[in-house]
Amino acid sequence: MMALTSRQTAGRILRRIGVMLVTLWFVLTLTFVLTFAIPTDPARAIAGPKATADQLETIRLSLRLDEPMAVQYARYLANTAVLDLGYSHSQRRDVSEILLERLPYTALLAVSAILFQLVVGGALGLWAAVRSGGVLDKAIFVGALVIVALPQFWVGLVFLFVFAFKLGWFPLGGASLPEGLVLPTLTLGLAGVAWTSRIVRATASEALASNTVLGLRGRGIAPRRIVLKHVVRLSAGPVLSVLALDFGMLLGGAVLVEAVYSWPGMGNVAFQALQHKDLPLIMGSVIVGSIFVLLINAALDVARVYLDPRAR
Amino acid sequence: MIWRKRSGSPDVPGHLRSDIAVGFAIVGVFALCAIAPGLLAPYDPLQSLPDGLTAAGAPRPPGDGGFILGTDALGRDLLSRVIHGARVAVLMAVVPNLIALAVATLIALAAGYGRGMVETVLMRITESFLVLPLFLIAMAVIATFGSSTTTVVLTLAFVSWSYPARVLHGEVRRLSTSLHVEAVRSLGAGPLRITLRHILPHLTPLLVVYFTMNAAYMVMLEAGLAFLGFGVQPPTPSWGLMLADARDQFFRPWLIIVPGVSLALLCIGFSLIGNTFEKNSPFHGRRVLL
Repeated sequence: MMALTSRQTAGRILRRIGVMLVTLWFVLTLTFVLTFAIPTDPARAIAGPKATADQLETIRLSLRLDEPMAVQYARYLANTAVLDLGYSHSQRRDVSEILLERLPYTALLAVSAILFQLVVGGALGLWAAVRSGGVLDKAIFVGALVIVALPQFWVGLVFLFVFAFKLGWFPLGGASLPEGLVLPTLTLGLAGVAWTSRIVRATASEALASNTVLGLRGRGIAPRRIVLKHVVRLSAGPVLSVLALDFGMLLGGAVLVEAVYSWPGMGNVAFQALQHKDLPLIMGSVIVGSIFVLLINAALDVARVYLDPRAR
Repeated sequence: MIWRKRSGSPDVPGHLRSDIAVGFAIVGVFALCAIAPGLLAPYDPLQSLPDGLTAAGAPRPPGDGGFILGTDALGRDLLSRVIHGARVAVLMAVVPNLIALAVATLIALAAGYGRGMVETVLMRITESFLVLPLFLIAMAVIATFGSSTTTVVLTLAFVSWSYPARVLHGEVRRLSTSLHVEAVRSLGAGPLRITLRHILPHLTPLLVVYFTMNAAYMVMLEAGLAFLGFGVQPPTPSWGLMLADARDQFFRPWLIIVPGVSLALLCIGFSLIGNTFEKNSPFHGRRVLL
């Protein structure tokens, strides 16, 4: 097990938390600027085109839009710190309430897509590395090239057409579990499988040629065990760092995939919010999405340290 | 230049040379469509044609009634719409891409050569930006400022400078400690001269590789935004918008297939070019591009 007691590790964790907080502050400043840089009047957006001047004034006062920018900014940061993300006028509920209700769906989709890409991509990459130059190796290279170039939401539409509409194997959308999760997971994870297999292919061939593996073979350890235990660990680090780096992009893909499959996650909420010009809800999705990404990043970092002793 | 130095030399495998030819052919055809859609398209992409719908009022499948790729729900010729849609795609592949790369280069030069506090601050910002859900941020920015073509272009640039900035920064750092830079510095060259005359030119191969790879990403990003209604607006023909219209048209699969395949083809074209450049560049195997 990883020893979390050493001073080095503690410093590392503190530094990570510091970076996370700065990133979050950055996002909040961005959403604040966007909310108050809008060409339209926030009060008008809430009250609609038929509101009287009096009504608008009341809303402005209740939102405290008359206060100086700096005061509003400070209150915005303070409110977000206690997860008060404002009020969604299109759904007539608190933004944080809506998002916390939808976040589990997005998290489920993201985690299952990540597992899919790690298991399938990892296995294909290892296989390609072991049988380097073989048919599968070449097939993976070409397949990865094509798959990475396919627009995710279009793959989703095609899957929906083939597997749900033509073959009727899966529902046409919605959140029925577990069968409703299959197509969104495949769609979201497909590009990741391509990436993962390429990275694993590269790092695993490097590991296979390393002195570590030579030493293990010299000690008579079975090749299967070497690959499954040692090579996997040696190539886990790069895969997890890329995964962490790309998680933001995965979440972006999730927005589109959720829209295609009417999956009731955060992406779908953001999409509906945009249709209603519900700015607090949009900014809330950005904030909650960013927090989610940062937490996953931290978790992957811990996993990487645990799997690869060199990263400690 | 990367491709000039190596092309034709025996260590470039034959399949790479054909890869890049295919890539250039695909991108070339779409570029042609983007430049002169009026010359190539058989019909007006915005006009509902009198014989564009069947007697029952349904769109015509490919080949029916002389429409090579069929017609859409409003009786417009799909081939003409795809050809005109290439304009938006190619625009998005080039303009935001160039803006993002220019910003990334400036940041990388300032951080990589300036070092110290400048570097720490700039790179912290870059790395923070890199992990964020940029698609959501792009949606938020477009929701705020509206979805004019200018806004979409600037938003795409805004969400895509961070990755090249990080990659270029590493390269600038490496170059700024290299012998030739040390030599010109000892001759008394100032920072501006060193960065612009002696570091920037060496970034060209990396910039070219990144431009082609990022082009595919830009095209997909714009199509994704348009699919959700946050890219260019109708009636401008755009592949993303066409796919958005085709979302529930499962009885007319060609409406889904045609714009999607165009998107995929253009992206594959860019990746083929980018991959070959990358393979023949001095960076191959150094994992700077991941």
